[in-house]
Amino acid sequence: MTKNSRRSLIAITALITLIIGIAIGAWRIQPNVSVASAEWIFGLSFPNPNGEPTPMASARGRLTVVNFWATWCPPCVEEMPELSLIHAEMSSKNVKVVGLAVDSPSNVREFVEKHRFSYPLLVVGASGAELAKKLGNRIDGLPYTALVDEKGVVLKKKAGRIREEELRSWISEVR
Amino acid sequence: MEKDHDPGSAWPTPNKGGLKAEIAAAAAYLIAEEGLDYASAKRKAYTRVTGGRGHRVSHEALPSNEDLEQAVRDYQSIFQSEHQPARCSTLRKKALELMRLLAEFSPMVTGAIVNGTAGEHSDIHLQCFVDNAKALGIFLLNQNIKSDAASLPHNRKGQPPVEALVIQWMGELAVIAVYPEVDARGARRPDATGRLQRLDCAGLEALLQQSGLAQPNPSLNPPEQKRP
Repeated sequence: MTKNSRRSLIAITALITLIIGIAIGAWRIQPNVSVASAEWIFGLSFPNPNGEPTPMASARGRLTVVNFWATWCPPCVEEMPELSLIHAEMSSKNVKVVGLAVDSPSNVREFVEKHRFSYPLLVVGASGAELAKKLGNRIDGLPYTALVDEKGVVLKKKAGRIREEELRSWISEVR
Repeated sequence: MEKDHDPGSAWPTPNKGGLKAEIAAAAAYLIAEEGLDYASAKRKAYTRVTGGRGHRVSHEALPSNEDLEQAVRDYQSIFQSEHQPARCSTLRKKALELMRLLAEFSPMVTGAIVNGTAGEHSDIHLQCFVDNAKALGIFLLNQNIKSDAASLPHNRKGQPPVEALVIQWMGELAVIAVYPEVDARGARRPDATGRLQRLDCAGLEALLQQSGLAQPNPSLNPPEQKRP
């Protein structure tokens, strides 16, 4: 066998190995959980600022505004009064807001001592960034808001500060 | 140190890197096909490949970002060679247009658009270096561009988060992080591997001109991009 043909054989073998490697990797990975289907969120439970576990299952059967936030994120804090207003006004119509803090329990405890909001605030911690991504957040930042329907389908999502009018228009579109 | 690629061959050899290479290949699929970010793709690929659901993922068990980037390139060259380069060029052109508009805020583009792995799911990521973040918001408002404020992690660990604006630009999501002006010098430096992680207008124009796609804008005279 000539030197050139040996090199070609090595290159072809390497190429085949690479393709097989990638194919195995792709085969092992099932398609990503679609953002449109986030039913899994109802199976999660997070502590409230007092440390008591609060299951997300309570959101099942309701239109839920899931808002990821943190005490260190100014636009997050800025939008909270508007979310609170929506929750207070629409809670009786089966529309709830839940705030998931990508923050430490102590920061959130300190925060809720100074600020009162009508909607529940739960502590997700650092893993909240990952959770927000699973719900469709593409920017690796906060705030992130998703509108999840009764069956766990993500109907709307927004990265960045959300306004009351926008949230109202989301809700009126699906209600 | 474990080597995942044979320096004597044009092709990486996944079997040599063992588990890390397998995780990298699986993560590359998630990045290229589903738009996951590197960190999420690594963790998900690790869990799926090792079946280690519920366990804490050790950093040492995961491929480096450099190895993962190479795996993404490999994946794209095999499975997305028909459309990925064109998509990357389109994003580069749109990013350049936005950077030209934001020239007074010293914008730099970063991420997959710079390293050439931008694909179907990629967004435009810019970093502006200006002390008055509000000025950028007002500028966008005056341009009739709706922006939403956000907080992003600082690109250096341990630093406080930075302000960001999220906009829709030419049909793409664009995230503009705002850093203090003093950080601009460091942003122009190459990383540990000698590569530039960010490009200014001139740098991105040069990249596009290499493939004959840029239309130099004579009305703007962006500063020269320093190359290592």
